[in-house]
Amino acid sequence: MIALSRGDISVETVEASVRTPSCGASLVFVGRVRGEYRGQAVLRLEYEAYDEMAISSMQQIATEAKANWNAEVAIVHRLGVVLPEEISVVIAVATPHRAASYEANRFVLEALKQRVPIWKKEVTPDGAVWKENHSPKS
Amino acid sequence: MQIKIRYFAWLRERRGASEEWMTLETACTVATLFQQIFEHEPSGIRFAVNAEYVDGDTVIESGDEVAFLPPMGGG
Repeated sequence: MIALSRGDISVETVEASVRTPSCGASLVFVGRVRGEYRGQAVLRLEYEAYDEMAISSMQQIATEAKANWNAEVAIVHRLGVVLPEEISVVIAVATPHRAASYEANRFVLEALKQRVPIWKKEVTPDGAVWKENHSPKS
Repeated sequence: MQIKIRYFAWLRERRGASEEWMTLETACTVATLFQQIFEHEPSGIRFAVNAEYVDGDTVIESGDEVAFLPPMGGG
Protein backbone atom coordinates (compact mmCIF):
# COMPACT_ATOMS: atom_id res chain seq x y z
CA MET A 1 0.00 0.00 0.00
CA ILE A 2 1.59 3.22 -1.23
CA ALA A 3 -0.79 6.15 -1.05
CA LEU A 4 -1.51 9.80 -0.37
CA SER A 5 -4.60 10.40 1.72
CA ARG A 6 -6.76 13.46 2.16
CA GLY A 7 -8.60 11.84 5.06
CA ASP A 8 -7.75 9.96 8.25
CA ILE A 9 -5.28 7.08 7.96
CA SER A 10 -6.12 3.72 9.52
CA VAL A 11 -2.99 2.36 11.18
CA GLU A 12 -4.56 -1.09 11.35
CA THR A 13 -5.25 -1.15 7.61
CA VAL A 14 -1.74 -0.05 6.70
CA GLU A 15 -0.17 -2.68 8.98
CA ALA A 16 -2.45 -5.39 7.65
CA SER A 17 -1.32 -4.64 4.11
CA VAL A 18 2.29 -5.73 4.75
CA ARG A 19 1.63 -9.06 6.48
CA THR A 20 2.75 -12.19 4.69
CA PRO A 21 3.14 -15.77 5.92
CA SER A 22 6.95 -15.54 5.77
CA CYS A 23 7.16 -12.41 7.92
CA GLY A 24 7.63 -12.90 11.65
CA ALA A 25 7.82 -9.21 12.43
CA SER A 26 5.99 -6.08 11.47
CA LEU A 27 6.78 -2.61 12.70
CA VAL A 28 4.65 0.50 12.33
CA PHE A 29 5.85 4.08 12.54
CA VAL A 30 3.13 6.66 13.18
CA GLY A 31 3.97 10.31 12.67
CA ARG A 32 1.71 12.83 14.36
CA VAL A 33 1.43 16.60 14.25
CA ARG A 34 2.90 18.37 17.26
CA GLY A 35 0.61 20.78 19.09
CA GLU A 36 3.57 22.98 19.86
CA TYR A 37 7.05 23.53 18.54
CA ARG A 38 9.77 25.22 20.59
CA GLY A 39 7.20 26.61 23.00
CA GLN A 40 4.91 28.03 20.35
CA ALA A 41 1.46 26.66 19.62
CA VAL A 42 0.92 24.98 16.25
CA LEU A 43 -2.60 25.40 14.92
CA ARG A 44 -2.30 23.05 11.94
CA LEU A 45 -0.06 21.75 9.20
CA GLU A 46 -0.98 22.06 5.54
CA TYR A 47 0.58 19.35 3.38
CA GLU A 48 0.85 19.36 -0.39
CA ALA A 49 2.59 17.03 -2.83
CA TYR A 50 3.64 16.56 -6.40
CA ASP A 51 1.26 13.63 -6.33
CA GLU A 52 2.42 11.42 -9.19
CA MET A 53 6.11 11.94 -8.40
CA ALA A 54 5.50 11.37 -4.67
CA ILE A 55 3.85 8.03 -5.43
CA SER A 56 6.65 6.92 -7.74
CA SER A 57 9.29 8.07 -5.21
CA MET A 58 7.62 6.10 -2.42
CA GLN A 59 7.40 3.04 -4.67
CA GLN A 60 11.12 3.36 -5.41
CA ILE A 61 11.92 3.54 -1.69
CA ALA A 62 9.79 0.45 -1.06
CA THR A 63 11.67 -1.36 -3.83
CA GLU A 64 15.00 -0.47 -2.19
CA ALA A 65 13.80 -1.70 1.21
CA LYS A 66 12.68 -4.94 -0.43
CA ALA A 67 16.10 -5.39 -2.03
CA ASN A 68 18.08 -4.57 1.14
CA TRP A 69 15.98 -6.16 3.90
CA ASN A 70 13.46 -8.32 2.06
CA ALA A 71 10.90 -5.99 3.59
CA GLU A 72 7.27 -5.60 2.67
CA VAL A 73 6.59 -1.85 2.87
CA ALA A 74 3.50 0.32 3.12
CA ILE A 75 3.57 4.11 3.19
CA VAL A 76 0.53 6.35 3.54
CA HIS A 77 0.99 10.11 3.88
CA ARG A 78 -1.68 12.71 4.61
CA LEU A 79 -2.28 15.74 2.42
CA GLY A 80 -4.22 18.90 3.14
CA VAL A 81 -4.94 20.26 6.60
CA VAL A 82 -3.78 18.05 9.48
CA LEU A 83 -4.46 19.12 13.06
CA PRO A 84 -2.31 18.60 16.16
CA GLU A 85 -2.21 14.99 17.35
CA GLU A 86 -3.63 13.75 14.05
CA ILE A 87 -1.60 11.28 12.02
CA SER A 88 0.52 12.74 9.22
CA VAL A 89 2.24 9.55 8.03
CA VAL A 90 2.17 5.82 8.64
CA ILE A 91 5.02 3.55 7.59
CA ALA A 92 4.59 -0.19 8.07
CA VAL A 93 7.22 -2.79 7.28
CA ALA A 94 7.21 -6.55 7.66
CA THR A 95 10.28 -8.77 7.50
CA PRO A 96 11.13 -12.38 8.28
CA HIS A 97 12.96 -11.33 11.49
CA ARG A 98 12.65 -8.32 13.80
CA ALA A 99 16.06 -6.66 13.41
CA ALA A 100 15.46 -5.99 9.75
CA SER A 101 12.11 -4.38 10.50
CA TYR A 102 13.70 -1.70 12.66
CA GLU A 103 16.37 -0.95 10.07
CA ALA A 104 14.00 -0.97 7.12
CA ASN A 105 11.42 1.24 8.82
CA ARG A 106 14.03 3.84 9.74
CA PHE A 107 15.43 3.75 6.21
CA VAL A 108 12.00 4.32 4.67
CA LEU A 109 11.23 7.28 6.94
CA GLU A 110 14.55 9.02 6.36
CA ALA A 111 14.39 8.41 2.61
CA LEU A 112 10.84 9.77 2.52
CA LYS A 113 11.91 12.97 4.26
CA GLN A 114 14.73 13.53 1.77
CA ARG A 115 13.32 12.33 -1.53
CA VAL A 116 9.54 12.33 -1.64
CA PRO A 117 8.16 15.63 -2.96
CA ILE A 118 5.85 16.56 -0.11
CA TRP A 119 5.80 19.96 1.59
CA LYS A 120 4.25 21.26 4.77
CA LYS A 121 3.27 24.69 5.93
CA GLU A 122 3.16 25.15 9.70
CA VAL A 123 0.48 27.58 10.82
CA THR A 124 0.87 29.24 14.21
CA PRO A 125 -0.96 32.18 15.84
CA ASP A 126 1.86 34.41 14.56
CA GLY A 127 1.77 33.30 10.95
CA ALA A 128 2.79 30.48 8.66
CA VAL A 129 6.12 29.06 7.56
CA TRP A 130 7.14 26.32 5.13
CA LYS A 131 8.99 23.73 7.21
CA GLU A 132 12.00 22.07 5.63
CA ASN A 133 13.41 18.69 6.58
CA HIS A 134 17.05 18.81 7.59
CA SER A 135 19.56 16.58 5.90
CA PRO A 136 20.39 13.50 7.98
CA LYS A 137 23.97 14.72 8.52
CA SER A 138 23.01 18.01 10.13
CA MET B 1 8.05 24.78 -28.11
CA GLN B 2 5.39 24.33 -25.48
CA ILE B 3 6.23 23.09 -22.01
CA LYS B 4 4.35 22.73 -18.75
CA ILE B 5 5.77 24.04 -15.49
CA ARG B 6 4.63 23.04 -12.01
CA TYR B 7 5.25 24.99 -8.83
CA PHE B 8 5.02 23.82 -5.23
CA ALA B 9 5.02 25.26 -1.71
CA TRP B 10 6.51 28.75 -1.49
CA LEU B 11 7.47 28.79 -5.16
CA ARG B 12 3.80 28.22 -5.96
CA GLU B 13 2.79 31.07 -3.67
CA ARG B 14 5.43 33.37 -5.12
CA ARG B 15 4.42 32.56 -8.70
CA GLY B 16 0.74 32.77 -7.85
CA ALA B 17 0.02 29.57 -9.78
CA SER B 18 0.48 25.85 -9.29
CA GLU B 19 1.12 25.24 -12.98
CA GLU B 20 1.33 27.01 -16.28
CA TRP B 21 2.11 26.37 -19.93
CA MET B 22 4.96 28.33 -21.43
CA THR B 23 6.39 28.72 -24.93
CA LEU B 24 10.18 28.59 -25.15
CA GLU B 25 11.75 30.29 -28.17
CA THR B 26 15.10 28.57 -27.72
CA ALA B 27 16.31 25.46 -25.95
CA CYS B 28 17.30 26.02 -22.34
CA THR B 29 18.15 24.09 -19.21
CA VAL B 30 15.88 23.68 -16.22
CA ALA B 31 18.20 25.80 -14.06
CA THR B 32 18.24 28.61 -16.62
CA LEU B 33 14.46 28.51 -16.87
CA PHE B 34 14.19 28.82 -13.10
CA GLN B 35 16.47 31.84 -13.11
CA GLN B 36 14.49 33.50 -15.89
CA ILE B 37 11.21 33.05 -14.03
CA PHE B 38 12.28 33.83 -10.46
CA GLU B 39 15.24 36.13 -11.17
CA HIS B 40 17.56 34.48 -8.69
CA GLU B 41 19.78 31.42 -8.42
CA PRO B 42 17.96 28.14 -7.78
CA SER B 43 19.71 27.72 -4.42
CA GLY B 44 18.38 24.67 -2.61
CA ILE B 45 15.91 23.94 -5.40
CA ARG B 46 15.79 20.51 -7.02
CA PHE B 47 14.43 19.86 -10.48
CA ALA B 48 12.22 17.24 -12.06
CA VAL B 49 11.33 16.60 -15.67
CA ASN B 50 8.30 14.39 -16.29
CA ALA B 51 8.18 13.54 -12.57
CA GLU B 52 11.78 12.30 -12.29
CA TYR B 53 14.72 14.03 -10.65
CA VAL B 54 17.15 15.65 -13.11
CA ASP B 55 20.26 17.81 -12.85
CA GLY B 56 19.99 21.55 -13.36
CA ASP B 57 21.83 21.35 -16.69
CA THR B 58 19.18 19.12 -18.23
CA VAL B 59 17.92 20.61 -21.49
CA ILE B 60 14.15 20.92 -21.71
CA GLU B 61 12.38 19.30 -24.66
CA SER B 62 9.06 20.09 -26.23
CA GLY B 63 6.13 18.77 -24.23
CA ASP B 64 8.14 18.26 -21.06
CA GLU B 65 6.63 18.80 -17.64
CA VAL B 66 9.20 20.72 -15.61
CA ALA B 67 8.85 20.97 -11.83
CA PHE B 68 10.76 23.14 -9.38
CA LEU B 69 11.04 21.44 -6.00
CA PRO B 70 11.86 23.47 -2.88
CA PRO B 71 13.36 21.70 0.16
CA MET B 72 10.85 19.06 1.22
CA GLY B 73 8.86 18.66 4.42
CA GLY B 74 7.28 15.23 4.30
CA GLY B 75 6.92 13.12 7.43
